Amino acid sequence: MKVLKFLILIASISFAQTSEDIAIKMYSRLTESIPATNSSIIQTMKGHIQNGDFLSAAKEATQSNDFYNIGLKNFAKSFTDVNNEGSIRMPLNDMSATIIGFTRDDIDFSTILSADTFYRLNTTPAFSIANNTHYESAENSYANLKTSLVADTISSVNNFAPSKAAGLLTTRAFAANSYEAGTNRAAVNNIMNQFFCKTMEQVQDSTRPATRVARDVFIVPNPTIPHLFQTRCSGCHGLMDGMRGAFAHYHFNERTMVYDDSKVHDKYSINATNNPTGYITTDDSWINLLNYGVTESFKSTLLSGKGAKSLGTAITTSKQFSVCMSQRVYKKLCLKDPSTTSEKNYILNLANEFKNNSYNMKKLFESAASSARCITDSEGGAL
Amino acid sequence: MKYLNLILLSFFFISCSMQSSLENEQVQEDELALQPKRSLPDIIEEQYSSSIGILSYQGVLQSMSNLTGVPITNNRVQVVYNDVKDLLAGTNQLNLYTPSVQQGYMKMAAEFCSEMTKSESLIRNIYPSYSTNNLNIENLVDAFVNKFWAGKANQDTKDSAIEDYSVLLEDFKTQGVRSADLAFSACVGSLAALPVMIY
Ligand code: HEC
Repeated sequence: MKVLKFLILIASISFAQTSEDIAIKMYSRLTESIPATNSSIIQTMKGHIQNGDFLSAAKEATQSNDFYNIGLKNFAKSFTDVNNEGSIRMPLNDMSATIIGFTRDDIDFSTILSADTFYRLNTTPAFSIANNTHYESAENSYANLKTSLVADTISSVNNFAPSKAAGLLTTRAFAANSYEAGTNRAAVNNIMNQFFCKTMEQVQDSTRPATRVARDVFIVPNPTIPHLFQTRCSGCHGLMDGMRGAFAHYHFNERTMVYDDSKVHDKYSINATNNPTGYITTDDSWINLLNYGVTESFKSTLLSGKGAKSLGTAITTSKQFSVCMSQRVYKKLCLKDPSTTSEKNYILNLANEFKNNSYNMKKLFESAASSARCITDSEGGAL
Repeated sequence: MKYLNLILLSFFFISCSMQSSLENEQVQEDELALQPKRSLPDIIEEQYSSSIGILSYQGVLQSMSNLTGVPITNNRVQVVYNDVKDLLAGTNQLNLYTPSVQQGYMKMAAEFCSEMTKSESLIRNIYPSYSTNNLNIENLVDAFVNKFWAGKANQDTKDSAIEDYSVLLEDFKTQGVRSADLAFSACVGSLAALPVMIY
């Protein structure tokens, strides 16, 4: 917090860019749009900036329709970019709408992977668990996301117990990308990418115990390379297979997410002869091996549990979740990844503040927009 | 007439605004001359270490609406938008500033400006002294450039654009081009320009 105030102070001392220029830039970065020429929001923001109160200026911009309909929407959509292509051309869906809703309504983001809450719109055609038409038509008709999003319960629309609802992890969009083909490992891979900002390549570490690696992962993948399983495969699969148990009852059947309490899904026991001594999934228990090796700094505290809901909490209460959210917001506002030491320290400060602010995403946006030098530093030229 | 103006002026403005922003960053002219094959995104990327972005398709739609006062749901705007949406950028990365993005962007600007200049009250939002006869070109251009480029370019850049651009429009005026078309030209020239596209 102190560091942020310090940065604000520095920015308000050196003043080459006018306060209106800064207001316009702050607005544009938050909303991904250029404000109206006679925008009253810009006039109010300008006044705050003249008083050195960048935070109040940012709070004006996050109340604008443009923030919800473009800037925040595109931020939310980036979480559904499973192939990390950087594009935001995919339609709005229940996952991105939920991220927008949690932000708008100041809901604790550390529950975003465990709450029994998702967001839909108050528009027709009505929400369906079997397709995305509801969201697509709302987006195509420019429904105002600031006013038309409403909270609903995941368990009631899916007709399962509230304890089986796990926020974004049990949205149709996440399910379609994670539980359809394959072996539900894609779910862990997606979590790693979207909520920890890491690829499996980056977090693999063969010093982790391989106790949970399942039978389909060849124990001798290549006879000419001894110990390949230990040195390579288990580096990813130790961690991934440890977590994927959480999703043992979830599947996606082409249109709809399915939760079957009665048994572990068949995909958990395929190709058992590849590694006959491998782990056999018998329930939805999971273990969290993040505290081993290269991911030790993730500082995870919840190390085992049952089901997606508790895994979701283990993810969002890890330090790396806050760091990742801060990094994503920074990239959104500054249009670059943090690379220098001071940028990285700045991200850590934002992450701490995010956690101390009850994981409030709107405040994270406001805090970053009012302190990131890419916006507030008047030395950097007009842009 | 409209489309000739449009193409002429847009290219003129894009190159002029680019030139000026480079000068601001003190890039030597001969340095640019030595590397003629570098694309605009490359050059900007070096100058700003990619800390600027390009408006994505919905950002373009909303921004042009914010600037001109023409609603995003305007029928003619919608027709063009649906036509060029896929040409416009799908991410904010500056290296997506391709000819197709420029083309889509220009078509959008033309339609917004065409709809805007059908309404004198919308023109007057930008230039309150707008009149249908004996229009003051320099003031007209000044209003469009300063309002559309607000916060996006320094005053020198804007002034030199206004100066160059006014000369051109004065010519049009002498040839008898009517006020609404002069306003259209001022609008499209300043809207289809780099300072609006990047943020
Ligand atoms: C960099 C991380 C990583 C490493 C290293 C790795 N895997 Fe995987 N593996 C994955 C991911 C991620 C998936 C899930 C892919 C999906 O379903 O989208 C997967 C899936 C699998 C599957 C299931 C395929 C299916 O039917 O869906 C098998 C079997 C497998 N890996 C075997 C291996 C073997 C054998 C090795 C060592 C040679 C290995 N993996 C090394 C990340 C890794």
